[in-house]
Amino acid sequence: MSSSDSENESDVEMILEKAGLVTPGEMITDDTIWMRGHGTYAADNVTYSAVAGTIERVNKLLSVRPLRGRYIPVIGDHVVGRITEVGNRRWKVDIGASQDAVLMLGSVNLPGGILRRKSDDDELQMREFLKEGDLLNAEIQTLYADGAAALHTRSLRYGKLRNGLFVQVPASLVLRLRTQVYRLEGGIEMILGINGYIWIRKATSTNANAAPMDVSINRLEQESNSMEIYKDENDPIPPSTRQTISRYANCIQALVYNEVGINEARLRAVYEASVVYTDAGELLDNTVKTDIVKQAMATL
Amino acid sequence: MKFSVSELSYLRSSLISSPPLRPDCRKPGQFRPVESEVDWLPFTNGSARVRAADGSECIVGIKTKVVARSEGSLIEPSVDITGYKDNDPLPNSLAEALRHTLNACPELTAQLILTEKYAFRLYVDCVVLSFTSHPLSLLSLAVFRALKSTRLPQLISSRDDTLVDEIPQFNDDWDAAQPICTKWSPPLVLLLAIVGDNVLLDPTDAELEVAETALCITWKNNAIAAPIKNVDIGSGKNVGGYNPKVLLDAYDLVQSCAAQVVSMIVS
Repeated sequence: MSSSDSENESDVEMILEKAGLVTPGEMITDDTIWMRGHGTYAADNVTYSAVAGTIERVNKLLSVRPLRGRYIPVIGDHVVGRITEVGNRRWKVDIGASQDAVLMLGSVNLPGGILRRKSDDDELQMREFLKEGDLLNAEIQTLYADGAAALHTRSLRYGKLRNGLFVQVPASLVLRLRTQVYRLEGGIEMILGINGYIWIRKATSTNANAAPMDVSINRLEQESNSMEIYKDENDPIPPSTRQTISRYANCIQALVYNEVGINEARLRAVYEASVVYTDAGELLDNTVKTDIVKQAMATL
Repeated sequence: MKFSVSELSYLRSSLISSPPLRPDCRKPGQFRPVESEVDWLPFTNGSARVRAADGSECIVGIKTKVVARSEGSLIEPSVDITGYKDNDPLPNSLAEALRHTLNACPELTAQLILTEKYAFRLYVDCVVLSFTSHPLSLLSLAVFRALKSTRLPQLISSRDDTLVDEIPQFNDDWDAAQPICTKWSPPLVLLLAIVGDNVLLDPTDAELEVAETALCITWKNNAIAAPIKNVDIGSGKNVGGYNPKVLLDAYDLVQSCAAQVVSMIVS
Protein backbone atom coordinates (compact mmCIF):
# COMPACT_ATOMS: atom_id res chain seq x y z
CA MET A 1 0.00 0.00 0.00
CA SER A 2 2.66 2.41 1.03
CA SER A 3 4.74 1.74 -2.04
CA SER A 4 1.82 2.29 -4.41
CA ASP A 5 0.97 5.43 -2.48
CA SER A 6 4.32 6.98 -3.09
CA GLU A 7 4.13 5.93 -6.71
CA ASN A 8 0.83 7.71 -7.15
CA GLU A 9 2.11 10.76 -5.42
CA SER A 10 5.00 10.93 -7.79
CA ASP A 11 2.46 10.67 -10.61
CA VAL A 12 0.74 13.86 -9.55
CA GLU A 13 4.02 15.43 -8.60
CA MET A 14 4.99 14.86 -12.18
CA ILE A 15 1.94 16.73 -13.44
CA LEU A 16 2.63 19.53 -11.02
CA GLU A 17 6.18 19.77 -12.25
CA LYS A 18 5.41 19.25 -15.91
CA ALA A 19 3.59 22.48 -16.39
CA GLY A 20 1.66 23.35 -13.28
CA LEU A 21 -1.00 24.45 -15.73
CA VAL A 22 -3.94 22.34 -16.87
CA THR A 23 -6.68 23.02 -19.39
CA PRO A 24 -10.36 22.03 -19.19
CA GLY A 25 -10.77 18.32 -19.90
CA GLU A 26 -7.13 17.50 -19.24
CA MET A 27 -6.62 14.35 -17.16
CA ILE A 28 -5.07 15.05 -13.79
CA THR A 29 -4.89 11.52 -12.43
CA ASP A 30 -6.59 8.15 -12.86
CA ASP A 31 -5.89 7.09 -9.31
CA THR A 32 -8.83 6.95 -6.89
CA ILE A 33 -6.88 7.75 -3.74
CA TRP A 34 -7.06 11.46 -4.51
CA MET A 35 -9.97 13.53 -3.30
CA ARG A 36 -11.43 15.81 -5.93
CA GLY A 37 -11.71 19.46 -4.99
CA HIS A 38 -12.87 22.64 -6.73
CA GLY A 39 -12.23 22.92 -10.44
CA THR A 40 -12.18 19.17 -11.08
CA TYR A 41 -14.66 16.58 -12.23
CA ALA A 42 -14.65 12.81 -12.52
CA ALA A 43 -15.69 10.40 -15.21
CA ASP A 44 -15.06 6.67 -14.82
CA ASN A 45 -12.98 7.31 -11.73
CA VAL A 46 -10.57 9.46 -13.66
CA THR A 47 -10.08 13.01 -12.41
CA TYR A 48 -10.12 15.78 -15.01
CA SER A 49 -9.66 19.50 -14.75
CA ALA A 50 -12.81 21.55 -15.25
CA VAL A 51 -11.07 24.90 -15.66
CA ALA A 52 -7.86 26.35 -17.03
CA GLY A 53 -5.54 26.92 -14.11
CA THR A 54 -2.95 25.58 -11.76
CA ILE A 55 -3.20 22.37 -9.73
CA GLU A 56 -3.12 22.79 -5.98
CA ARG A 57 -2.57 19.96 -3.56
CA VAL A 58 -3.40 19.80 0.11
CA ASN A 59 -2.56 16.32 1.43
CA LYS A 60 -4.88 14.11 -0.60
CA LEU A 61 -7.09 16.89 -1.93
CA LEU A 62 -6.51 18.01 -5.49
CA SER A 63 -8.06 21.20 -6.76
CA VAL A 64 -7.52 23.47 -9.72
CA ARG A 65 -7.34 27.20 -9.15
CA PRO A 66 -8.71 28.99 -12.24
CA LEU A 67 -6.56 31.62 -13.96
CA ARG A 68 -9.53 33.81 -14.79
CA GLY A 69 -13.08 33.84 -13.64
CA ARG A 70 -15.37 35.54 -11.24
CA TYR A 71 -14.17 36.65 -7.88
CA ILE A 72 -14.60 34.02 -5.18
CA PRO A 73 -15.30 35.68 -1.81
CA VAL A 74 -13.15 34.80 1.18
CA ILE A 75 -13.90 35.90 4.75
CA GLY A 76 -11.93 38.99 5.70
CA ASP A 77 -11.40 40.25 2.14
CA HIS A 78 -11.53 44.01 1.68
CA VAL A 79 -13.77 44.57 -1.33
CA VAL A 80 -15.35 47.45 -3.22
CA GLY A 81 -18.96 46.96 -4.25
CA ARG A 82 -21.91 48.68 -5.87
CA ILE A 83 -25.42 48.61 -4.46
CA THR A 84 -27.82 46.88 -6.86
CA GLU A 85 -30.93 46.58 -4.75
CA VAL A 86 -32.42 47.95 -1.56
CA GLY A 87 -34.49 45.31 0.15
CA ASN A 88 -35.98 44.24 3.43
CA ARG A 89 -33.44 45.36 6.07
CA ARG A 90 -30.64 44.55 3.66
CA TRP A 91 -28.84 45.82 0.60
CA LYS A 92 -27.73 43.66 -2.30
CA VAL A 93 -24.21 44.53 -3.39
CA ASP A 94 -22.49 43.68 -6.66
CA ILE A 95 -18.94 42.61 -5.79
CA GLY A 96 -18.18 40.83 -9.06
CA ALA A 97 -18.80 37.39 -7.57
CA SER A 98 -21.20 34.86 -9.01
CA GLN A 99 -23.91 36.13 -6.68
CA ASP A 100 -24.61 39.54 -5.20
CA ALA A 101 -23.39 39.95 -1.64
CA VAL A 102 -25.74 40.92 1.18
CA LEU A 103 -25.20 43.91 3.43
CA MET A 104 -27.55 43.75 6.41
CA LEU A 105 -28.89 46.95 7.90
CA GLY A 106 -27.40 45.72 11.17
CA SER A 107 -23.92 45.50 9.66
CA VAL A 108 -23.46 49.18 8.86
CA ASN A 109 -22.60 52.17 10.97
CA LEU A 110 -25.53 54.48 11.22
CA PRO A 111 -25.46 58.14 12.14
CA GLY A 112 -25.48 58.61 15.87
CA GLY A 113 -22.90 56.13 16.97
CA ILE A 114 -21.83 52.63 16.32
CA LEU A 115 -23.58 50.78 19.11
CA ARG A 116 -27.14 51.75 18.44
CA ARG A 117 -30.12 49.52 17.86
CA LYS A 118 -31.56 49.75 14.37
CA SER A 119 -35.06 51.13 14.54
CA ASP A 120 -37.98 51.01 12.11
CA ASP A 121 -37.12 54.59 11.17
CA ASP A 122 -33.74 53.46 10.01
CA GLU A 123 -35.37 50.80 7.90
CA LEU A 124 -37.61 53.36 6.25
CA GLN A 125 -34.75 55.65 5.32
CA MET A 126 -32.36 52.99 4.08
CA ARG A 127 -32.13 54.75 0.70
CA GLU A 128 -30.83 57.86 2.43
CA PHE A 129 -27.81 55.90 3.57
CA LEU A 130 -27.12 53.78 0.51
CA LYS A 131 -29.10 53.67 -2.71
CA GLU A 132 -28.84 51.80 -5.99
CA GLY A 133 -25.60 52.60 -7.81
CA ASP A 134 -23.72 53.77 -4.73
CA LEU A 135 -20.21 52.48 -4.29
CA LEU A 136 -18.87 51.34 -0.94
CA ASN A 137 -15.95 49.46 0.47
CA ALA A 138 -16.59 46.70 2.96
CA GLU A 139 -15.21 43.57 4.49
CA ILE A 140 -16.56 40.09 3.89
CA GLN A 141 -18.02 38.99 7.20
CA THR A 142 -19.41 35.53 6.52
CA LEU A 143 -20.07 33.19 3.66
CA TYR A 144 -23.35 31.36 3.18
CA ALA A 145 -23.51 27.72 2.22
CA ASP A 146 -24.25 28.61 -1.42
CA GLY A 147 -21.12 30.75 -1.70
CA ALA A 148 -22.85 34.12 -1.36
CA ALA A 149 -21.12 36.62 0.90
CA ALA A 150 -22.37 38.83 3.71
CA LEU A 151 -20.56 42.15 4.11
CA HIS A 152 -20.06 44.55 6.96
CA THR A 153 -18.94 48.16 7.11
CA ARG A 154 -18.61 48.32 10.88
CA SER A 155 -15.44 50.33 10.92
CA LEU A 156 -14.70 53.86 9.86
CA ARG A 157 -12.36 52.35 7.29
CA TYR A 158 -15.41 51.15 5.37
CA GLY A 159 -18.43 52.92 3.96
CA LYS A 160 -19.67 54.95 1.06
CA LEU A 161 -17.08 56.12 -1.48
CA ARG A 162 -16.82 59.58 -3.04
CA ASN A 163 -14.26 62.08 -4.40
CA GLY A 164 -12.94 59.78 -7.06
CA LEU A 165 -13.03 57.45 -9.99
CA PHE A 166 -14.00 53.80 -10.30
CA VAL A 167 -11.88 51.33 -12.26
CA GLN A 168 -12.67 47.69 -12.81
CA VAL A 169 -10.07 45.00 -13.51
CA PRO A 170 -10.14 41.18 -13.49
CA ALA A 171 -10.10 39.98 -9.89
CA SER A 172 -7.34 37.48 -10.66
CA LEU A 173 -4.93 40.37 -11.31
CA VAL A 174 -5.25 41.85 -7.82
CA LEU A 175 -2.62 40.54 -5.46
CA ARG A 176 -3.62 39.79 -1.87
CA LEU A 177 -1.63 41.89 0.56
CA ARG A 178 -1.74 42.95 4.17
CA THR A 179 -3.53 46.15 3.37
CA GLN A 180 -5.60 47.17 0.37
CA VAL A 181 -5.62 50.93 0.95
CA TYR A 182 -2.69 52.91 -0.35
CA ARG A 183 -1.65 56.51 -0.27
CA LEU A 184 0.02 57.35 -3.55
CA GLU A 185 2.06 60.26 -4.82
CA GLY A 186 0.15 63.38 -5.78
CA GLY A 187 -2.34 63.34 -2.90
CA ILE A 188 -4.13 60.25 -4.15
CA GLU A 189 -5.53 57.35 -2.24
CA MET A 190 -6.41 54.03 -3.77
CA ILE A 191 -8.64 51.28 -2.47
CA LEU A 192 -7.65 48.12 -4.27
CA GLY A 193 -10.61 45.81 -3.73
CA ILE A 194 -9.58 42.17 -3.87
CA ASN A 195 -12.57 41.61 -6.15
CA GLY A 196 -10.94 43.75 -8.84
CA TYR A 197 -13.02 46.85 -8.18
CA ILE A 198 -10.74 49.79 -7.58
CA TRP A 199 -11.51 53.23 -6.22
CA ILE A 200 -9.02 56.04 -6.79
CA ARG A 201 -9.77 59.22 -4.91
CA LYS A 202 -8.37 62.41 -3.61
CA ALA A 203 -6.75 61.84 -0.24
CA THR A 204 -8.19 64.02 2.48
CA SER A 205 -7.08 64.42 6.03
CA THR A 206 -10.49 63.33 7.26
CA ASN A 207 -10.45 60.07 5.31
CA ALA A 208 -10.52 57.54 8.10
CA ASN A 209 -9.01 55.01 5.73
CA ALA A 210 -5.76 56.88 5.76
CA ALA A 211 -5.21 56.27 9.45
CA PRO A 212 -6.77 53.01 10.56
CA MET A 213 -5.12 53.42 13.96
CA ASP A 214 -7.37 56.32 14.82
CA VAL A 215 -10.54 54.32 14.50
CA SER A 216 -11.33 54.25 18.20
CA ILE A 217 -10.53 57.92 18.70
CA ASN A 218 -12.75 58.90 15.81
CA ARG A 219 -15.84 57.63 17.48
CA LEU A 220 -16.73 60.99 18.99
CA GLU A 221 -15.97 62.77 15.76
CA GLN A 222 -18.22 60.39 13.93
CA GLU A 223 -21.13 61.05 16.24
CA SER A 224 -20.82 64.76 15.68
CA ASN A 225 -20.61 64.26 11.92
CA SER A 226 -23.80 62.15 11.80
CA MET A 227 -24.90 61.99 8.15
CA GLU A 228 -21.42 63.01 6.95
CA ILE A 229 -20.38 59.44 6.17
CA TYR A 230 -23.29 58.97 3.78
CA LYS A 231 -22.82 62.28 1.95
CA ASP A 232 -23.10 62.27 -1.87
CA GLU A 233 -21.42 65.61 -2.66
CA ASN A 234 -17.76 65.60 -3.55
CA ASP A 235 -15.24 67.90 -1.93
CA PRO A 236 -13.68 70.44 -4.28
CA ILE A 237 -11.05 68.58 -6.31
CA PRO A 238 -8.46 70.63 -8.23
CA PRO A 239 -7.86 69.79 -11.91
CA SER A 240 -4.30 68.64 -11.22
CA THR A 241 -5.60 66.01 -8.79
CA ARG A 242 -8.19 64.87 -11.30
CA GLN A 243 -5.45 64.47 -13.90
CA THR A 244 -3.34 62.43 -11.50
CA ILE A 245 -6.32 60.20 -10.68
CA SER A 246 -6.87 59.59 -14.40
CA ARG A 247 -3.19 58.88 -14.95
CA TYR A 248 -3.25 56.26 -12.21
CA ALA A 249 -6.35 54.74 -13.82
CA ASN A 250 -4.48 54.51 -17.13
CA CYS A 251 -1.47 52.95 -15.37
CA ILE A 252 -3.76 50.29 -13.91
CA GLN A 253 -5.13 49.58 -17.38
CA ALA A 254 -1.55 49.27 -18.67
CA LEU A 255 -0.82 46.61 -16.03
CA VAL A 256 -4.05 44.81 -16.94
CA TYR A 257 -3.22 44.90 -20.64
CA ASN A 258 0.08 43.18 -19.90
CA GLU A 259 -1.55 40.69 -17.52
CA VAL A 260 0.64 41.83 -14.67
CA GLY A 261 -0.72 41.46 -11.14
CA ILE A 262 -1.46 44.78 -9.47
CA ASN A 263 0.09 45.86 -6.20
CA GLU A 264 1.26 49.12 -4.72
CA ALA A 265 4.93 48.84 -5.67
CA ARG A 266 4.17 48.00 -9.29
CA LEU A 267 1.63 50.75 -9.63
CA ARG A 268 4.09 53.29 -8.23
CA ALA A 269 6.76 52.05 -10.63
CA VAL A 270 4.45 52.20 -13.64
CA TYR A 271 3.36 55.68 -12.63
CA GLU A 272 7.00 56.80 -12.47
CA ALA A 273 7.62 55.27 -15.88
CA SER A 274 4.53 56.96 -17.29
CA VAL A 275 5.68 60.45 -16.29
CA VAL A 276 7.83 60.51 -19.45
CA TYR A 277 4.58 60.90 -21.36
CA THR A 278 3.42 64.35 -20.33
CA ASP A 279 0.14 63.76 -22.12
CA ALA A 280 -1.42 60.87 -20.20
CA GLY A 281 -3.76 60.26 -23.14
CA GLU A 282 -0.84 58.58 -24.89
CA LEU A 283 -0.95 55.83 -22.28
CA LEU A 284 -3.97 54.36 -24.10
CA ASP A 285 -1.74 53.16 -26.90
CA ASN A 286 -0.94 49.46 -26.61
CA THR A 287 2.76 49.77 -27.41
CA VAL A 288 3.10 52.52 -24.81
CA LYS A 289 1.30 50.31 -22.27
CA THR A 290 3.77 47.49 -22.86
CA ASP A 291 6.74 49.85 -22.79
CA ILE A 292 5.99 51.47 -19.46
CA VAL A 293 5.15 48.18 -17.78
CA LYS A 294 8.40 46.64 -19.02
CA GLN A 295 10.36 49.62 -17.77
CA ALA A 296 8.59 49.53 -14.43
CA MET A 297 9.09 45.81 -13.91
CA ALA A 298 12.80 46.22 -14.65
CA THR A 299 13.16 48.63 -11.75
CA LEU A 300 11.53 46.29 -9.22
CA MET B 1 -24.60 50.12 -15.55
CA LYS B 2 -25.71 52.43 -12.83
CA PHE B 3 -23.41 55.05 -11.44
CA SER B 4 -23.35 56.60 -8.01
CA VAL B 5 -24.27 60.25 -7.49
CA SER B 6 -20.75 61.21 -6.49
CA GLU B 7 -19.22 59.41 -9.49
CA LEU B 8 -21.52 61.30 -11.86
CA SER B 9 -20.85 64.66 -10.27
CA TYR B 10 -17.09 63.99 -10.36
CA LEU B 11 -17.35 63.12 -14.05
CA ARG B 12 -19.55 66.03 -14.95
CA SER B 13 -17.43 68.60 -13.16
CA SER B 14 -14.30 67.16 -14.82
CA LEU B 15 -15.84 67.24 -18.28
CA ILE B 16 -17.36 70.73 -18.14
CA SER B 17 -14.13 72.31 -16.98
CA SER B 18 -12.03 74.07 -19.60
CA PRO B 19 -10.18 72.25 -21.07
CA PRO B 20 -12.25 69.13 -20.37
CA LEU B 21 -10.56 66.46 -18.24
CA ARG B 22 -11.67 63.10 -19.53
CA PRO B 23 -11.49 60.15 -17.14
CA ASP B 24 -8.93 58.41 -19.35
CA CYS B 25 -6.92 61.60 -20.06
CA ARG B 26 -7.88 61.67 -23.71
CA LYS B 27 -7.91 64.93 -25.63
CA PRO B 28 -11.38 66.02 -26.80
CA GLY B 29 -10.66 64.81 -30.34
CA GLN B 30 -8.81 61.63 -29.46
CA PHE B 31 -10.35 58.35 -30.55
CA ARG B 32 -9.79 55.23 -28.46
CA PRO B 33 -7.43 52.82 -30.20
CA VAL B 34 -9.13 50.15 -32.32
CA GLU B 35 -7.75 47.27 -34.28
CA SER B 36 -9.36 45.87 -37.39
CA GLU B 37 -8.98 43.25 -40.04
CA VAL B 38 -10.70 42.89 -43.40
CA ASP B 39 -11.64 40.19 -45.87
CA TRP B 40 -11.79 37.44 -43.32
CA LEU B 41 -15.36 36.14 -43.85
CA PRO B 42 -15.60 33.63 -46.69
CA PHE B 43 -18.54 33.90 -49.13
CA THR B 44 -18.87 37.66 -48.69
CA ASN B 45 -17.99 40.42 -51.11
CA GLY B 46 -16.33 42.33 -48.34
CA SER B 47 -16.03 41.98 -44.58
CA ALA B 48 -14.43 43.61 -41.60
CA ARG B 49 -13.96 43.05 -37.91
CA VAL B 50 -13.25 45.93 -35.58
CA ARG B 51 -12.25 45.57 -31.97
CA ALA B 52 -11.74 48.29 -29.38
CA ALA B 53 -9.46 48.13 -26.38
CA ASP B 54 -12.36 47.79 -23.96
CA GLY B 55 -13.47 44.54 -25.61
CA SER B 56 -16.19 46.05 -27.80
CA GLU B 57 -16.34 44.15 -31.04
CA CYS B 58 -18.26 44.44 -34.26
CA ILE B 59 -18.24 42.35 -37.41
CA VAL B 60 -19.68 43.31 -40.80
CA GLY B 61 -20.21 41.19 -43.88
CA ILE B 62 -21.35 42.65 -47.19
CA LYS B 63 -23.13 40.49 -49.76
CA THR B 64 -24.74 41.39 -53.03
CA LYS B 65 -27.56 40.18 -55.19
CA VAL B 66 -28.68 41.28 -58.65
CA VAL B 67 -32.17 42.76 -58.55
CA ALA B 68 -34.41 44.70 -60.89
CA ARG B 69 -33.89 48.40 -60.28
CA SER B 70 -37.59 48.90 -59.77
CA GLU B 71 -37.47 46.74 -56.65
CA GLY B 72 -36.70 49.54 -54.23
CA SER B 73 -33.68 50.45 -52.17
CA LEU B 74 -30.31 49.16 -53.31
CA ILE B 75 -28.74 49.24 -49.87
CA GLU B 76 -30.10 47.05 -47.10
CA PRO B 77 -28.30 47.42 -43.80
CA SER B 78 -29.25 45.21 -40.87
CA VAL B 79 -27.88 45.32 -37.35
CA ASP B 80 -27.88 42.55 -34.80
CA ILE B 81 -26.72 43.09 -31.27
CA THR B 82 -25.93 40.06 -29.13
CA GLY B 83 -28.47 39.82 -26.36
CA TYR B 84 -30.99 42.23 -27.94
CA LYS B 85 -34.28 41.22 -29.46
CA ASP B 86 -35.00 41.98 -33.11
CA ASN B 87 -37.65 44.52 -32.19
CA ASP B 88 -35.46 46.39 -29.74
CA PRO B 89 -35.14 50.09 -30.60
CA LEU B 90 -31.32 50.18 -30.42
CA PRO B 91 -30.44 47.79 -33.30
CA ASN B 92 -33.27 49.23 -35.36
CA SER B 93 -32.19 52.81 -34.85
CA LEU B 94 -28.60 51.87 -35.70
CA ALA B 95 -29.72 50.14 -38.89
CA GLU B 96 -31.81 53.19 -39.74
CA ALA B 97 -28.84 55.48 -39.17
CA LEU B 98 -26.70 53.34 -41.47
CA ARG B 99 -29.40 53.23 -44.14
CA HIS B 100 -29.69 56.99 -43.98
CA THR B 101 -25.95 57.50 -44.24
CA LEU B 102 -25.31 55.01 -47.02
CA ASN B 103 -28.26 56.15 -49.09
CA ALA B 104 -27.02 59.73 -48.83
CA CYS B 105 -23.95 58.59 -50.73
CA PRO B 106 -24.53 58.92 -54.49
CA GLU B 107 -21.07 57.46 -55.33
CA LEU B 108 -22.06 54.18 -53.74
CA THR B 109 -25.37 53.93 -55.56
CA ALA B 110 -23.64 54.76 -58.85
CA GLN B 111 -21.30 51.81 -58.36
CA LEU B 112 -24.22 49.44 -57.82
CA ILE B 113 -26.09 50.17 -61.02
CA LEU B 114 -25.45 47.55 -63.72
CA THR B 115 -27.78 48.26 -66.58
CA GLU B 116 -30.91 50.24 -67.23
CA LYS B 117 -32.96 47.47 -65.65
CA TYR B 118 -30.68 45.71 -63.21
CA ALA B 119 -28.54 46.68 -60.27
CA PHE B 120 -26.72 45.13 -57.37
CA ARG B 121 -28.42 45.22 -54.04
CA LEU B 122 -25.96 45.53 -51.18
CA TYR B 123 -26.75 43.67 -47.97
CA VAL B 124 -24.72 45.19 -45.16
CA ASP B 125 -25.05 42.74 -42.27
CA CYS B 126 -23.61 43.93 -39.00
CA VAL B 127 -23.27 42.09 -35.72
CA VAL B 128 -22.26 43.90 -32.56
CA LEU B 129 -20.76 41.15 -30.42
CA SER B 130 -20.22 43.30 -27.37
CA PHE B 131 -20.08 46.94 -26.53
CA THR B 132 -19.62 49.13 -23.50
CA SER B 133 -20.27 52.58 -24.99
CA HIS B 134 -22.73 53.59 -27.71
CA PRO B 135 -21.96 51.25 -30.64
CA LEU B 136 -22.63 53.74 -33.47
CA SER B 137 -19.02 54.85 -34.00
CA LEU B 138 -17.61 51.32 -33.85
CA LEU B 139 -20.30 50.05 -36.19
CA SER B 140 -19.62 52.80 -38.66
CA LEU B 141 -15.87 52.07 -38.54
CA ALA B 142 -16.57 48.42 -39.33
CA VAL B 143 -18.88 49.32 -42.22
CA PHE B 144 -16.29 51.76 -43.51
CA ARG B 145 -13.60 49.07 -43.48
CA ALA B 146 -15.91 46.48 -45.03
CA LEU B 147 -16.99 48.78 -47.87
CA LYS B 148 -13.35 49.58 -48.57
CA SER B 149 -12.69 45.88 -49.02
CA THR B 150 -15.84 45.11 -50.99
CA ARG B 151 -15.46 43.89 -54.56
CA LEU B 152 -18.18 43.27 -57.11
CA PRO B 153 -18.00 40.69 -59.91
CA GLN B 154 -17.10 42.07 -63.32
CA LEU B 155 -19.99 42.48 -65.75
CA ILE B 156 -19.29 40.90 -69.15
CA SER B 157 -22.65 41.43 -70.84
CA SER B 158 -23.74 44.73 -72.30
CA ARG B 159 -24.47 47.67 -70.01
CA ASP B 160 -27.23 48.89 -72.26
CA ASP B 161 -30.36 46.76 -72.19
CA THR B 162 -32.97 49.32 -73.13
CA LEU B 163 -33.68 47.67 -76.47
CA VAL B 164 -32.91 44.01 -75.87
CA ASP B 165 -33.89 42.14 -72.74
CA GLU B 166 -30.72 40.69 -71.37
CA ILE B 167 -29.88 39.10 -68.04
CA PRO B 168 -26.54 40.39 -66.76
CA GLN B 169 -23.62 37.98 -67.16
CA PHE B 170 -20.55 38.07 -64.93
CA ASN B 171 -16.94 37.06 -65.21
CA ASP B 172 -16.26 33.81 -63.31
CA ASP B 173 -12.84 34.98 -62.30
CA TRP B 174 -13.00 36.51 -58.83
CA ASP B 175 -9.62 38.15 -59.42
CA ALA B 176 -11.26 40.30 -62.06
CA ALA B 177 -13.77 41.65 -59.55
CA GLN B 178 -13.80 45.41 -59.21
CA PRO B 179 -13.38 47.19 -55.85
CA ILE B 180 -16.43 49.26 -55.03
CA CYS B 181 -14.44 52.16 -53.59
CA THR B 182 -12.34 53.47 -56.40
CA LYS B 183 -11.88 57.20 -56.21
CA TRP B 184 -14.11 57.87 -53.25
CA SER B 185 -14.19 57.05 -49.61
CA PRO B 186 -17.21 55.58 -47.83
CA PRO B 187 -18.95 57.64 -45.14
CA LEU B 188 -17.84 57.42 -41.56
CA VAL B 189 -20.20 58.38 -38.74
CA LEU B 190 -18.53 59.92 -35.72
CA LEU B 191 -20.30 60.18 -32.40
CA LEU B 192 -19.68 63.25 -30.27
CA ALA B 193 -20.94 64.01 -26.81
CA ILE B 194 -21.84 67.52 -25.75
CA VAL B 195 -21.08 68.25 -22.12
CA GLY B 196 -21.56 71.85 -21.08
CA ASP B 197 -19.69 73.88 -23.69
CA ASN B 198 -17.34 71.04 -24.54
CA VAL B 199 -17.48 68.55 -27.38
CA LEU B 200 -15.93 65.11 -26.94
CA LEU B 201 -15.19 62.64 -29.70
CA ASP B 202 -15.86 58.93 -29.13
CA PRO B 203 -17.52 59.27 -25.70
CA THR B 204 -17.45 56.37 -23.26
CA ASP B 205 -20.52 55.04 -21.54
CA ALA B 206 -19.82 57.12 -18.43
CA GLU B 207 -19.23 60.28 -20.46
CA LEU B 208 -22.55 59.87 -22.27
CA GLU B 209 -24.25 59.42 -18.92
CA VAL B 210 -23.42 63.00 -17.93
CA ALA B 211 -23.76 64.52 -21.42
CA GLU B 212 -26.53 66.90 -22.51
CA THR B 213 -26.84 65.13 -25.80
CA ALA B 214 -24.86 63.35 -28.46
CA LEU B 215 -24.34 64.32 -32.09
CA CYS B 216 -23.42 62.21 -35.01
CA ILE B 217 -21.47 63.85 -37.78
CA THR B 218 -20.71 62.14 -41.08
CA TRP B 219 -17.26 62.37 -42.62
CA LYS B 220 -16.95 61.56 -46.29
CA ASN B 221 -14.28 62.25 -48.92
CA ASN B 222 -12.31 64.38 -46.45
CA ALA B 223 -15.23 66.66 -45.69
CA ILE B 224 -18.19 66.84 -43.39
CA ALA B 225 -21.30 65.53 -45.09
CA ALA B 226 -24.95 64.86 -44.39
CA PRO B 227 -26.48 63.53 -42.21
CA ILE B 228 -25.64 65.45 -39.08
CA LYS B 229 -28.08 64.87 -36.28
CA ASN B 230 -28.78 64.37 -32.63
CA VAL B 231 -28.59 60.88 -31.21
CA ASP B 232 -30.89 59.68 -28.49
CA ILE B 233 -28.68 58.64 -25.61
CA GLY B 234 -31.52 57.61 -23.39
CA SER B 235 -30.98 57.82 -19.71
CA GLY B 236 -28.74 60.82 -19.07
CA LYS B 237 -29.78 63.14 -16.26
CA ASN B 238 -28.54 66.32 -17.87
CA VAL B 239 -30.40 65.87 -21.14
CA GLY B 240 -31.39 69.28 -22.41
CA GLY B 241 -30.60 72.10 -24.73
CA TYR B 242 -27.13 73.25 -25.65
CA ASN B 243 -25.46 76.36 -26.84
CA PRO B 244 -25.64 76.52 -30.69
CA LYS B 245 -22.03 77.73 -30.66
CA VAL B 246 -21.11 74.19 -29.61
CA LEU B 247 -22.22 72.94 -33.02
CA LEU B 248 -19.51 75.02 -34.65
CA ASP B 249 -16.98 73.63 -32.19
CA ALA B 250 -18.14 70.13 -33.08
CA TYR B 251 -17.65 70.96 -36.75
CA ASP B 252 -14.12 72.21 -36.12
CA LEU B 253 -13.28 69.23 -33.97
CA VAL B 254 -14.39 66.74 -36.61
CA GLN B 255 -12.57 68.68 -39.31
CA SER B 256 -9.34 68.54 -37.35
CA CYS B 257 -9.57 64.94 -36.11
CA ALA B 258 -11.50 62.85 -38.63
CA ALA B 259 -8.54 62.36 -40.96
CA GLN B 260 -6.57 60.96 -38.02
CA VAL B 261 -9.36 58.52 -37.18
CA VAL B 262 -9.45 57.33 -40.79
CA SER B 263 -5.71 56.80 -40.93
CA MET B 264 -5.81 54.99 -37.57
CA ILE B 265 -8.31 52.37 -38.72
CA VAL B 266 -6.82 51.88 -42.16
CA SER B 267 -3.31 51.26 -40.83
